This record gives sequence, structure tokens and C-alpha cells, in this order.
Amino acid sequence: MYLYNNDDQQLVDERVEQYRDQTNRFLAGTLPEDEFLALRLMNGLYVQRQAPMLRVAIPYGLMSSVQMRKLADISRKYDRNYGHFTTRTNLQFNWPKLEEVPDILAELASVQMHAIQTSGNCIRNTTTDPYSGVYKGETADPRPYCEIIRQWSTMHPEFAYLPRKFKIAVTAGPEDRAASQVHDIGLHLIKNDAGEIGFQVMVGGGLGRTPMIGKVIKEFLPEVHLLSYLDAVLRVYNLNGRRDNKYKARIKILVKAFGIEKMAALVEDEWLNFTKESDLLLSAADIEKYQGYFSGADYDADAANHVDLSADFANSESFKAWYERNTVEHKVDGYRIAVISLKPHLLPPGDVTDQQMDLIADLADQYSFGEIRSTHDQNLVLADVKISDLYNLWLALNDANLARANIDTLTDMICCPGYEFCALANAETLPIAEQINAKFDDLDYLYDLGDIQVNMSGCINACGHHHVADIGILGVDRKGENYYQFTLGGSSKTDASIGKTIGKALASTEVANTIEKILHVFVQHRVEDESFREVIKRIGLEPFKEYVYATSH
Amino acid sequence: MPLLINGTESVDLWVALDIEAFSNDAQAAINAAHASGQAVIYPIAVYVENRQLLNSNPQQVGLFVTGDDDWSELVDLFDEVSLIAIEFPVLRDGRGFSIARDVSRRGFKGEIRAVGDVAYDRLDSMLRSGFNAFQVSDDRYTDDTHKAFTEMTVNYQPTHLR
Repeated sequence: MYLYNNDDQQLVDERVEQYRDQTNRFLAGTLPEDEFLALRLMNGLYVQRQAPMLRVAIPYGLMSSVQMRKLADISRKYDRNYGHFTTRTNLQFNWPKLEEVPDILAELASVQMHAIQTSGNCIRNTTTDPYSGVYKGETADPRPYCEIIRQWSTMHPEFAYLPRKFKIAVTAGPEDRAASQVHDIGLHLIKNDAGEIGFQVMVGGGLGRTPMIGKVIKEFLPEVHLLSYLDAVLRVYNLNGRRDNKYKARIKILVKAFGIEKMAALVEDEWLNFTKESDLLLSAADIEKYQGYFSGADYDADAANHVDLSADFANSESFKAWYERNTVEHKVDGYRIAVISLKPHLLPPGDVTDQQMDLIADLADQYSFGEIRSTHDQNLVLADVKISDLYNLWLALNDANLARANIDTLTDMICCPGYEFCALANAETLPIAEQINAKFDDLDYLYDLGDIQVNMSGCINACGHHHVADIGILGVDRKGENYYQFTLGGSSKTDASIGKTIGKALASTEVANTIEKILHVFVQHRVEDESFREVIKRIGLEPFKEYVYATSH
Repeated sequence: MPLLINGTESVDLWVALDIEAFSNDAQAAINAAHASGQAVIYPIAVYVENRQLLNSNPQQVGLFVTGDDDWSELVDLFDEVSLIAIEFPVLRDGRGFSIARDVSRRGFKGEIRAVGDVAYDRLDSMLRSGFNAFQVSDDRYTDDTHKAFTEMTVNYQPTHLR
């Protein structure tokens, strides 16, 4: 992974002291509250319903065991012994004290971490495929490019007060595990006919109040122009994006207002005239330098000779289920990618305790070259596990309630923290997740249903990505009561689409029952092993609407 | 209001066009400003409208530009003015950073002044975006304000400064 040099370290150290000074001035009353608000947000600090919330950046979801232990340590020392992983692959602490945040940042800086630009109207953490570098068929490892973007976007003097937040995702095909098409910018690593590496650039995707799939603004951008082109897009956005209404300020609204052709022309004009041949032009050597940080692990050639798990399978059905659901083919023979489920039974999705973090760090050291990845759907990944180590890994994870074999099933939900933890939310999400978990506890039933993505947001801002789920759930408030609206047919994957509402919001007690009805229609119409998504595409929403809203069954 | 240039408090030799007089009798106000012999900052639209009258001594003409102005033709005026003041109307509005960047990279060699919501925590970003003069409001100015430029000594962006 990327390792800080002296300049990187100095930057985060100075940023900590800068933020400490800002906090001190705020507490002393010399920095106005509205100004401190913008400054603390740019350093990841929200003030929520019950307490402040600090969001720590995990650049492109990659962290070391040392960093993970530090996060565990911080949760013990400054918080309530847990953290929460987000869909931007960051980690949130829900109970820090405002005056202690500078100390937390200093602790983070000691392990090459920070909270820079995890909130605010600036360029946020760049995300990517959690299987980058280890799965077969990717065009190139996206992480070197993510690091290049991280550096360019970190404390960019011109783009810290954008009309609204700005999110970039990089994927390398063929599958999209980073929801790249619902990002402000989605970058797809591709090869052109000449075999050169570059990006297909999408712009104007997003969720929130006005969900949209991004549009292609450039079919092929040579890799050396990554930053010069991003700089041009950001400048066009900074100057032209709406600032009169924060709900219409994202770049997707600008792209819609201009039309993609005009947007592309404005960016092209800026790019060709100013940025293309500027200092932002990368050299092949620059790119190679960053690629060097992400070159493959030191794999054991002998691992390919120890891949027979039949004895372990015979030993434990649960292990076999976990192997099938929670591990993924690796590009190197003898290895698998192991997904650690942070969606245990009846506990908040994405949460992880200090003890679990310490254990995961140890397991990463023992089995996966000391690295851990966080995923867009709020799980963790050990990317390089020998097949012969999987059983022991599973035993350890299972003891720590981290081996629920539910990846990509209905209970592998993406879920925002909801009303209890977020000042924006209108409705609770965690009790509803519990209700769903309680109802759908039978793993065999879940496996029969196949891959189903359920996402839930506690308000229209859609942090739980409900628009891009097979089954999306949006909490709304009606005169103090929570109701839940269902959307079906969304996807954040290669065939990205925005789900459609099936009818009026339903009472909180009816959420799990409604999912049951939706699944009933699915199973009735399903032909052989069709996935939920395939059935929706084939039969449309009407049968679901009819059954869910029928007066009696 | 204190004016910071090169990190030190400097004497402001410029006056803004008298907006009250301008709203009473625009032409009279412009004529008076022009005849005063002072260096005057005109809103860009006013200057463009009265370009023939005002285009005489670049040392005494400055322009005031906001994000809402049409400043696409600003480059044509570079030789006629020696100051461009760019407004930050509110904290949230960061267009001024990109306007300054555009003005400086297109080769304007005069004073690029940040005005409006200009305070300590954004001075360094303003400098790195191309500003070289900073008008800080009285209530936000202290003897330590110049330290804003040295809080961060490293950065990743290949801007023309540092």
C-alpha cells in the first residue's frame, strides 16, 4: 500500500495543528460558529443529535493492520469502543468530544491517517473496487490512480468551497463493485484499440433527492491526463454549479441543465486551452512510481498445492456455507478473497467493536499480508488468504461474530445510521434492520433467494443508497410516526439503474412483512435460478405492487 | 479595512466607486470618480459601459468582479487596468478561487485582490489560487493574521505559487 514520505507526513501533521488552532479559536469565541462549521466539516466532524461524529478517511478503502489497531485504540480511548464503516469506505466514531478531536487527529496522523475532506463541500474520499489488484479480469489496478487523485484533491486550494460535495469512484471492470455510475465522477479503467490504458469518464451520477445515473463525458482519456481532465471538470463545476439551492447544487443538476454535450464542450475547452499540457500532466514514470506501491503481495507458489477443503467442509457445514457465500475467486491459484461480514444478526450493519478491530488486525497479519479493505456495502475484506488458511480464519471470525455467511444476501444490507445517530434523518433505520434480520434468519432460505441487495436510508438524502438496491427502503416521517417507502429494481452495478417506488409508505411494523410479500411474488415468478433483478426486468413492478397493496391475502 | 500584501499590512491606495452617488446619478458619479485623480475600483459592468471615458490611465483603474458577472471577456481588459478585485459574497461561495486562478493564469500581472468574506482560514487557499492582495474586515484582523500563510508548508497541487 501507499506509504507516506516526509512531505505527506508533514502535511497531515500540519493539518492537525491547523485544526487544533481552529478548534481553540472556536472555543475561545474568536472564530464565528458558521465559519467553524465549514472548517470542522472539512475535517470530518459533524455535530449530530446526541454527540459529535468524526468520520475518518480510509483512502480507497485500504488500511493496514497497524492502522486498524489504531482505530480500535481510538474507539477505546475517545469513544464508546466501536466504529461504523460507511458506504464511502470510511469509518465513523459516534461519540467523540469536540475538544478532543485534535488529539484524535494527531493519533491518526501517527499512523498515516487523517479525516481530511470526509465531509464538506469539497472532493471526498475516492473509492474503488474492494477486490482491486486481486481479481481476474481487471484492466489495471485502480489504486495507484486513486492515490494520485487523493493527493491532487487533498487541500486543493481552489476546490474547497464547491457548490456541494464531490465524489469520485474508480473501477477497472468488468463488474462494478464501487457504484461508480452514481458518483459525481465515475472513472472506468479501460484499454483502447491500441492497448493503451485510459479512462472512460462518467459525470453527473448521484443519489440524494434527485437520483441519476452518470453520463459518459469522455469515451477515452489517456491515463496521463487523469488529473488535467479532473481539474477541468472541477473548475467548470465550481464556476457554474448552482449555489442558490443546496438540493440543486450537485454536478448532476448542472449536467442535466446544460445537457451532456454542452457540459462536455465546456470541459473540453477548459482542458485543451489550459490544463491538458499543464503541470498536471502525469508522466509514465509518475504512474509507475505509484503502481510500485501496489504491486502484488509476496504470494506462496506452494499454496496452489493445498486447495482441497473437502475435509473441512465435511467437518463443518457452516464453514462450507461461509466459503461459498463469503469468499471470492483470487487471481492467484491457491488463494481466495475473504469477506468479513459486518452484518451480524440483530446488530447495526457496518458496526465493528474495538475487540473485533484488534482481532481483524491480527488475522490480517496472520493470513493476509497485514492489509484490510473496507467495502462500499459496509463489510471488510482480507484480500489475499491462502485457501489452506481459510478454515482457521473462519474459526477465528466465527468466534467473534464476524462470519455470518450472508454476503450479497438479503441481510447484507446497506444501511445509514438513521434517526438515532444522524441529525438529518427523519426515521429510524437500525430497529428496522433488526426487524428484517429477525424475520429472515434462515440462511438456507436466503441462499435459495440468491443475490438480493436491500438498502435502507433514514431520509431523502439517501446515504443508505436505497435508490440503487433490488429492494430499497426509505424512511419518512408523518406527524411523528415513521413510515417506510419501498423502491424496486435499482442497481449500482454495471447495469446501474434507479429503482422505482411501488406505492405509498407503509407502517414501521410492516417492513419485514412487506419484504416477505415482495419475495413471495419473486419466488412465484422465478424461472429456475433467475435472480431477483432478472425477474424484475422481465415482469416489471406491477405484480409486486398488486400483491403488496392488495387488501387481503 | 486592513489590506494584506506580501504578508504585511499595506496602505490601500484605492477607492471604490461611490455606489450611493452612483445610484443617484450614475454618470455624474463616474465622471467625478474619473476626474478625482484617485485610483478607483469600478464594477466590471460599469467599466465596460463607460470604457471609452475611463480607459485612460491603467494605474487608476481597477475592476470589481463577482461570480455572477460575465467576466468571460475580462482578459480583453487586462491592459487597461492594474487591479482586479474578486468578491467572496458569503463563506459558501467559492467561485472567487476559480476566477482568481483564471485571471492569473491568463497572464494578468496587476493586483488580484480578495474582497468580501475574507478571513484567516481561507487566506492561504486564496494565495495559492492566484490572489496577491487580501482585504480583511476590521473585526477579523489581528496582528497574527499573516500567520495564515505559513500554517501549511507543503501541498500537493502544482499551482504557480510555492
